[in-house]
Amino acid sequence: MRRLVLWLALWLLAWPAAWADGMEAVACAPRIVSAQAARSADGARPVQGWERVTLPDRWGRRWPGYSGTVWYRIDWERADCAPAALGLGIDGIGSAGEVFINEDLLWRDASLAEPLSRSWNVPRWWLLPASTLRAGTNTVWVRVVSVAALSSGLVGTLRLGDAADVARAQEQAQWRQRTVYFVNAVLAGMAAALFLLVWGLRRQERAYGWFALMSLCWLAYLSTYLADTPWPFADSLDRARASLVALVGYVLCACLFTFRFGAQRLPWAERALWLLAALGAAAAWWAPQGAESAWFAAIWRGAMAVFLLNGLQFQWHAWRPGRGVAQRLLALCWLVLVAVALFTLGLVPDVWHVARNWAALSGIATIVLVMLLLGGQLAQQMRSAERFQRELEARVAEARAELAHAVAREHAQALDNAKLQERMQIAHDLHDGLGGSLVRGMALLEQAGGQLPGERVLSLLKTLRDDLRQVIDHGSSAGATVPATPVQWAAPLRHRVTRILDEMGVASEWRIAAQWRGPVEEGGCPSALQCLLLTRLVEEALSNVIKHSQARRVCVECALPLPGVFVVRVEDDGRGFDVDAVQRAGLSVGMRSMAARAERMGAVFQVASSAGGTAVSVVLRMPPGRPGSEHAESGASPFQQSASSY
Amino acid sequence: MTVALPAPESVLPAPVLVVEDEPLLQQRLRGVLLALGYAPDALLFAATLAEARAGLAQQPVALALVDLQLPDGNGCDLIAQLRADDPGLGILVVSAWSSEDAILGALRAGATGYVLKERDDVEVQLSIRSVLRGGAPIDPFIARRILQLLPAPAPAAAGAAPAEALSEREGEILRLVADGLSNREIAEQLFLSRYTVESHVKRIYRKLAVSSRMGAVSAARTRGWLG
Repeated sequence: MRRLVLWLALWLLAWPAAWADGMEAVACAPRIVSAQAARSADGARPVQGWERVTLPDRWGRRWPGYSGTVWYRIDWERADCAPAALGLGIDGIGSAGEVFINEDLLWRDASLAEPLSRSWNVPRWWLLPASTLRAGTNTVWVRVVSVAALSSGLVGTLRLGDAADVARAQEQAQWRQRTVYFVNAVLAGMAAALFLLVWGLRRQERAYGWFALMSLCWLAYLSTYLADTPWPFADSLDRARASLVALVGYVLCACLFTFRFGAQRLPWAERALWLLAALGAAAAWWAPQGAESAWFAAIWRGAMAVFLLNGLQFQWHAWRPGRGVAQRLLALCWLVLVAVALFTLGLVPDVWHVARNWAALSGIATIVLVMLLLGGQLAQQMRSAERFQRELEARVAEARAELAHAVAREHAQALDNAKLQERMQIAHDLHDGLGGSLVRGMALLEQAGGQLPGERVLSLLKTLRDDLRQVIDHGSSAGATVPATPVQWAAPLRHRVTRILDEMGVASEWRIAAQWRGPVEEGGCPSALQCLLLTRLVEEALSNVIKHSQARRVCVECALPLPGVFVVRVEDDGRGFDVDAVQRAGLSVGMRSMAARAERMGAVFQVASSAGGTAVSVVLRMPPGRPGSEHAESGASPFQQSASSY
Repeated sequence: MTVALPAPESVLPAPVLVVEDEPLLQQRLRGVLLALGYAPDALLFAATLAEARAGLAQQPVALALVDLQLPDGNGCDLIAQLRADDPGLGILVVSAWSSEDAILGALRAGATGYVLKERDDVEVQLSIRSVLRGGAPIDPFIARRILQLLPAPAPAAAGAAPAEALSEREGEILRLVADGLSNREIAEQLFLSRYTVESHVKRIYRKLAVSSRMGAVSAARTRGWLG
């Protein structure tokens, strides 16, 4: 507590001292005694016609319509205790000028004749050289050259004081008057480039096109604040006209952008806007000489009024229920600009100040709009892409399921079909093979009238058994393919028969072609069924040799002498038999079944027998162009039997 | 049947076990065996696996004719048991309409040969005699399957080849069998005796049985049934 009291006492003691310091600084600061202005016809410093003015000064109100040179004279007093380094700062000279301290030139614009340099928005400061300063009263002379329609005079704040303070103040002015505009100009340029590109790629996005154009117009208008020469225009007045045209364009584009972005259909308003814009631009460009200032101000007010109206009407449109967030954000953006404009007008009834504030705000507005447009669009597109992907996935899954279902169904159908076909094939084979043999056997038994010996019946049954084996072999997968070579085709039969013949002491010789002549389709080899039928036929022929011939030698020959012809020949040197007699008696089961098999496969079957031996030959013709698994047509060629001397 | 075969060998291994459930076919096999020179009391008949096992428990046999489809199971089990009891025993499968895989399965279980029931008596007789001679009946289809199943003969380092790999000579014989050549023809072509050819075939069958056992062991090992 005591410490606090002590601190308080110290502070109370110190306060008057601090106050005295402040008073001293104020007392030692340069004091402006008077500011005067005078017109100069020839540009030289005038002797008379000086009028007192308050700074900053625009001469438009004092000397309306005056274009040319005006001199400003600022007298000030330098105190003895003044700081060593004094600075002079001027925030803008409209439009070009030069600055003197007493009689010495401090600074001069690059061009003091048309096209005039543009210093109206350029803050500058100079260190006042101590050698030129006098004790007591000193004078700052400022020569200003301008034209009537522009803001002419010593339009910026003039500062005189400690060099450090002046420099600091100038730094702030630099930020306010140059950097902010520069940043805004860059943003506007970027937005314009970006949206021009987007619009170029997607012409149907009209709002983007208008936004790009709006940004371009704003960039053109901002150059008024930043350019230091009238280039590319001939003089300052043309430059001012162009700025106004850009402003009119900006307002028009902003309105159209708003309409497109908000999906507003206002054809009459649009037509009126175009008309107004054309009128405004024409008025700006062809404003009559001498009255430019008034015309320019009128156009400016008109453009601003339109802009404010548009901002307000969009509020009414955007805040109704059911509008998107993007539209509301845009409305908010316009609302801020409108509020700033009205507020500024309320404080200072000067449109130029509104322009300044808008210019400062436009950067933020631009960024907000860009984020709003791009972000909204991006989010929407991502959403729609996600939705599309989800839909796509669902569709793909659906299609896949359908396909799997269809394939399974088709597979089941194909399986059933194949089973059915296979069954029909087996039935067909049973009918043709086993059925035929059965019918033949029954006929034989009937004709014999019960007199058939047991051995015959047994032979009949064995034929039936062999036919059944054939059907089974053909039905199984192994029997359904053509053996790779004639040797492999003959191998099982050869193996079985040779074993028996070896045991019986019968010499056997097999002459078998090493290879087929080609695939079934080209007639190079028999079909699978033909292979089986041929095997059975040769088996029966050999079985006859074993059982009846009493041969000492057997020769089996399998050859492909010509393309499309397969010949199998079984010869023995046995006792032979009377072919005609056997045929007439109709008793030989083996002979009949051999002939039937040959007929079934479409082969020529011949038997030649004599006392010196028997030869059974089968000539199978294999025309090209048959499918691989085809079954031979029955009755392609009748079987022949001939008896000849052997 | 007018086929006359040379006289049978003088010494016949006895007794013979016939496992066959069909009485008529039992009768047929009895006829075939009697024709070969067997005395009726040297023949033992069993209609089921159980009967066969009961008979085996009382006395060992010197030859077995086994049907695969029996009322109380598959003949392959009995074949494996017989083979385990006597590695030199002749076991002939006399099967009905058997599939290729069933025949191969019987051979892998240890059968010495097989003959289809549907064949004429002469062929059945031939097969039995082949087994009696110490040979092993083989046919082209079986030869081809064995060529696919067993490893090819190792070219130079025969000693380093695995036990169940075919030797070069065995592979040669199998290829000739596959082409349909009889044992006599093979013997003539390779300048061997018929007996040598048959003992080669027997060794091939043994390798087939060994390979199937080893295959079973390695399969069991990979499946974690064995340690």
